[in-house]
Amino acid sequence: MEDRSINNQTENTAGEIRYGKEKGWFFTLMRLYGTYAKLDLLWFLRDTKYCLLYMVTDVICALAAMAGVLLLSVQFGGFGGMSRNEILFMLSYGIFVDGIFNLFFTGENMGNISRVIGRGQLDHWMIQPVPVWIQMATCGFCPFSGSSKLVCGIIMTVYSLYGLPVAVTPWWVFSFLAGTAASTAVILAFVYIVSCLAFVSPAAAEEIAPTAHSPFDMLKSYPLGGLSAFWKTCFCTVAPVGLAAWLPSLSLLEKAPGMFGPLPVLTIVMAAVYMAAAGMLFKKGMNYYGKYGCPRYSGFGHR
Amino acid sequence: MKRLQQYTATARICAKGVFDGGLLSVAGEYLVRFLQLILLVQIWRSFGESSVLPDGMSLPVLLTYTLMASVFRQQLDIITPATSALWEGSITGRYLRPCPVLGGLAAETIGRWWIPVFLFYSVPVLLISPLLGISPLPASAWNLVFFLISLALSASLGFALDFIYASMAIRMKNGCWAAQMVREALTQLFTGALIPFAMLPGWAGQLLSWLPTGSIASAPLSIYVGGAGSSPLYLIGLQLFWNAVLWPISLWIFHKSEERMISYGG
Amino acid sequence: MENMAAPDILALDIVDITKIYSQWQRTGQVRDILRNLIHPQKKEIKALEGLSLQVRQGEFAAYAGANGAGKSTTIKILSGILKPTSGSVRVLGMDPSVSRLELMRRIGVLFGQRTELWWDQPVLTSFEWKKSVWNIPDSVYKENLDMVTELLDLGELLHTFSRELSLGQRMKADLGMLLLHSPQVLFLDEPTLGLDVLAKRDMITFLKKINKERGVTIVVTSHDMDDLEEMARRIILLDHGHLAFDGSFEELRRVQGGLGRVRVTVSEDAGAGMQELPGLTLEEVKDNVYEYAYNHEKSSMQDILKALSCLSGIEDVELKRAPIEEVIAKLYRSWK
Repeated sequence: MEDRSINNQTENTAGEIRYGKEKGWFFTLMRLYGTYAKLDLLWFLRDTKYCLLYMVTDVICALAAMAGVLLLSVQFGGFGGMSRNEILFMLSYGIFVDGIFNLFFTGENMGNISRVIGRGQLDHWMIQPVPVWIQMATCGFCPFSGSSKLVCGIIMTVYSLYGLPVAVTPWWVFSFLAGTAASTAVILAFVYIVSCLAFVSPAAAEEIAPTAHSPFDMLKSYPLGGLSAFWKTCFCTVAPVGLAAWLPSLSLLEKAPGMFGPLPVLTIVMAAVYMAAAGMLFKKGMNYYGKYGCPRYSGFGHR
Repeated sequence: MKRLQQYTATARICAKGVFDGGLLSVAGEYLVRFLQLILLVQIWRSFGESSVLPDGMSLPVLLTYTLMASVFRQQLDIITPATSALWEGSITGRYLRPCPVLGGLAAETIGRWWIPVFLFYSVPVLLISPLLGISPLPASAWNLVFFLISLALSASLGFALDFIYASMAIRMKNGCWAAQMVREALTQLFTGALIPFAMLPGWAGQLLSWLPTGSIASAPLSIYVGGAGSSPLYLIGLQLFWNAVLWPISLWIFHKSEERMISYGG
Repeated sequence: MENMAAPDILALDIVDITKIYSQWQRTGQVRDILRNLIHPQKKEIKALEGLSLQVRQGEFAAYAGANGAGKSTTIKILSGILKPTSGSVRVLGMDPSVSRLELMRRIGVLFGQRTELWWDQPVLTSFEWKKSVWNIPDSVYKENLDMVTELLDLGELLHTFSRELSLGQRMKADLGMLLLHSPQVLFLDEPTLGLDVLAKRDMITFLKKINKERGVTIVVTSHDMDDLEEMARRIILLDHGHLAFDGSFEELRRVQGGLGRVRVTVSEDAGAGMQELPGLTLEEVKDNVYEYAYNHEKSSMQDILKALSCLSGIEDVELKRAPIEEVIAKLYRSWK
């Protein structure tokens, strides 16, 4: 290394730096979304082959997830209180929800948070001058590599709507977007709630997030109309698989009673409850982390 | 005998690693699985009540099929640590042990997943299944015997496929998780673990049952519950055929990829 | 935001901190498996106990101790990653667990075995990511980027994917990234771990330079005592979570009483009377080379040379300080 002087840095010696003015959390959020979008774009442009491979994979996964129920509905001409076209709409809704989830929470294992906790990688978050929740909200954002499922969901939704007597008004579109956002929030919150186990048992619970996500992957596309009231209530509250596609789809098809037309109010309310519970538990988990730390570290999957 | 000791020691240490986490950590995973079973059972119940099921598939049979798919999920969906070890680079360590790498990976799978899941999920679920209104019993004693043979062949086929996936993963480098994702997404549908092939339109069910993946879950489960289209000898014959085809391919492709595994993993 | 700490504020002020962990205990016996499932056996470990120390701004302090002494725990507490069980911690006058965000703009933390770089992106992209997350002004970023590129010789590495860097290159890139926001205090946890001689030299030179010329306070941990001695003026030694020594390396040698070494080479036929010499303790004999330890507070150099001059066949006499590795190894052994 050359022995060059750094005395010319006088204007910028330690302790004299002026940072960009923080205008509040919203601007930080937007700035970081921009940063992660850029990182994703760069990855897309540099590793195009792999990026396209992942995008195609997402589409295959989306189609595979709906294939079983679609084949059942073809065989039986619809089931669970829904016609074939209604089932197709519900499946499309489910793919749209997965699309949002992928778009915002694919990167950095944000959708599989138990891996971050269990591998001791929260330390990396703690040394950044950004609130943890903003990091969680932004660093999984992949608008390019993670968009294929969402595109697939949009196409499927538009296609399915052709066969249904639904009046697609701006209010309906708003209700659809609110419903899909709420369903995504329910899935995310459920995964985070279960993943909090990794604070206490990092090694054993490292892979619990994918397990917590799997009921949604496998079962959210089943119509639950034929179930008893008890089970319907269960699957729309404590085990919220029904909130990921079935119940909001019914609202949007105006087959569920509601004061606000197609707006899936119950899904939105439950999403708020789940998010609050997840936030509370995660905060407790972070306190536990601050007290005991994580007795292991693995850089696997980090960045 | 010495080899068996090596595998037992590996399986034991992997199993202990799971148990050491305390009840809370394993209970979380098993609870989610149980929830999944309950949900599917309720869906089938409502389905059976509202639709006419195909020939040879009654509601009790459908429920037993679903129960056994959940109970033997680990054996019917083999995922060894091969792919993750390749990705982490820890595969090199397996080559430093005085026992075959594939055998070691199989022992790790048994220790890390089969034993804990069997003890703390499969057995309790089997015991409480009558309370859920599901019969855990096979169609007959012969069906049970054929099922056990079929299950062994299914597990063997699962290992062969997993090693093929792992070998492919090393060639795909950064795309290795794409292969894993596709595999996970297709497994449930293509193996028949989630929806019995008999429930699908005839052409789809027939096609899927001929694929190697169809021999993994659908074959043993169909044998267990009996019924039409599930001649045990035919299904076991098909499983033997796929084992005979896939194992040589698996060993060949795995050995072809070994050098790459070690240099990449190291 | 003004990011300047008043010079009279201590860089670190640790007062009587204790950190207790619970560690799971396993017998390895199968019969304990069920018991562990229901009631895991835990043992309390005191990682730090009543630790107090201060570091002034601009200091370069080595923080050492045997494995498990509590070094990394201290760094995690100072970075706000862990909270102490009791006691108080101030970094640049701030409590890390309360003012984490503000503090992170003023300090830099590097864990040698971890990386902050983005694996699948070129190094420069990671730097730009940091610029955005830390919200570093353009002028500061550019100035610091030029500085680290030049001094750490990062030019060719900037456009290389992090996944393709060697360990030494990766450490250099991580260190460069660490400095982009002009931190006032650096915590470096084993930054030289696994580096080759050349990479180590580069890093040491660089750290000394930023300490001297930019006044950056540096607290560094390492198991390589020679590296620490070369970098730091002060050494803080931990023993099982307690402060065992705090002073200069010379003071440490003095405390250990093995300040100097005399190496005497004699001709083949000589050697008589070499085993016992006044004021010298024979440490090692190899071929015709005798190595002695001496304490200059007890024996004067004049007496030692006088004793040696009485012997015949002496070919060479070499005086040196006791290797710091040896001094500290002796200390570690005495703590066991």
